[in-house]
Amino acid sequence: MTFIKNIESNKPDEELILQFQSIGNLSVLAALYQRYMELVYGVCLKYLKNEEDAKDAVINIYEDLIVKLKKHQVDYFKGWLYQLSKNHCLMILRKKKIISLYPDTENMQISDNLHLEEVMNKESQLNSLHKCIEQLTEEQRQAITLFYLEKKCYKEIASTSNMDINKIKSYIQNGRRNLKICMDKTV
Amino acid sequence: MNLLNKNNFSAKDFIQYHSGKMSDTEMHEMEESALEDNFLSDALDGYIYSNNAEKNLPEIKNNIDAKSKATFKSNASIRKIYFSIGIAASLIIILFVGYFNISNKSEVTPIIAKVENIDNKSDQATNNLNNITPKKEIKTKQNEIKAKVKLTVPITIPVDEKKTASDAESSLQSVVASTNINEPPLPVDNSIQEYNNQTIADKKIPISAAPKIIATSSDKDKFKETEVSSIKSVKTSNAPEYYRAVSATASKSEIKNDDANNNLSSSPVEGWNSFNKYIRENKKIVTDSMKNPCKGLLILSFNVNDNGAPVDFKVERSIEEACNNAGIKLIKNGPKWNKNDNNRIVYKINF
Repeated sequence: MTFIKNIESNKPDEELILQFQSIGNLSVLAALYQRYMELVYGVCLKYLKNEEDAKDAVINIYEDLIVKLKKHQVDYFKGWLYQLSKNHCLMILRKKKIISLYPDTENMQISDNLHLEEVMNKESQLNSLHKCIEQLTEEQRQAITLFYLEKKCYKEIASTSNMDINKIKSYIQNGRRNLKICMDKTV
Repeated sequence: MNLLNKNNFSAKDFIQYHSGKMSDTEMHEMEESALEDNFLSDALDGYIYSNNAEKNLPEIKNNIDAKSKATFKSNASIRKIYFSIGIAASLIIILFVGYFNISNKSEVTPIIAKVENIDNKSDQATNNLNNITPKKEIKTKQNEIKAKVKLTVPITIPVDEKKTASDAESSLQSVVASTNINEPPLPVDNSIQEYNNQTIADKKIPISAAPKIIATSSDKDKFKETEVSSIKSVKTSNAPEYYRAVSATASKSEIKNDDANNNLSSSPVEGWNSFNKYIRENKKIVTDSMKNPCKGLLILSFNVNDNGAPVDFKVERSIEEACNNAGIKLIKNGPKWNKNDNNRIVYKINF
């Protein structure tokens, strides 16, 4: 087993998926899953809030994976596994009927899969960035500046700015979005 | 977002992050990565509930390995059975053909036996694998700009900062440039979206389906609330053709509630805003009077009884006994609750 894992350790996810789909060797799938197992455990903990339930869920998601990965063509395994894990936990919550429906207006975040594109090398854009930062709300401006320009962590931002640590992430996410809208208008 | 867990953040890192054993720089690095990766972000949030991850994860790993071994063994025994059946069938055919030839006293013609390679399939699979060209991952780089522009934001940057302001600005610029604004902001953190009894994640919902929405939320700044049939929906100014169904789990301590949704689950009589305010104001009074002030996150869960009192407390995440009891006392002595269902309320107090 260890031998197989060592062999698989450097291969890309997609190659392991094809190997599993063609041969059906579960050791390959186990090696692939264990790359993300600790993340899956964290996601399950977030939704289920109980270590025993999260433990069971991680194993059940692996069993789901054996069936689903044979049928589905997966281009980007990590994203697919995240959705699979999240949906699995949500189904558990629904079965247990412990979902409470509260509107959450404070912790707004962008759901898109953000990815970095090529860097734009234009000084004029930097100028517009500064103008746009100034146009942000006070909280968003402060959060964006401290996080991205001063490289402060949430804890430091909370202590220097007196902002609630739960809201900082939302200010950063929404600030980024507003910056993007503003930059698109000015450029 | 990357193929692998690109930053190699492990459970150990998440635990260190929450236990305050990480340096500020390391924490920032992790937070920055989490902003780019929802999987990492959720996992990081989740480990706050973990007390035994270091014990549980090896157990899960062993369990998965055991399942793989068990299936591998059963597959091997099935292959052996098929192999034996194949040999037996071949012998029967040879004997039958031989007997048929002798009994008919026909001229004996040489039988040419053709041996098929039973490993053909696996050879083919191996060939397929050899032909696979692994997709190459496209990595983008930050911090390539070296433009020198002074900050107009009135923030003082420390002199000993290793990165220059322009590097940081370039980094921010590239992050902003890559931000996708086609979708309106969503409360992903601790949120659950449901539509037509299906679990959906971050999906748009057409207006025609709006009456099926279970619960919704809105951002005061950018969203406009409207009533659709008997339920509430959210209309975005950017994408008016869509509604979004959003609801959050019971774990949020800082949730703003409105009256329209109070009938969905148990909630404070005076509303969540008032309750959160009560906790914020009184937790200081409680902790200031203690010998050792409480520091950290306390998570409690409880039921609401028929009289509207919180009962049956359970400590989901503990600080220390005195602090746990202070938190329980705080909620017990707080405002009354409306009981609407039997679900437990989970409440976080950040001391």
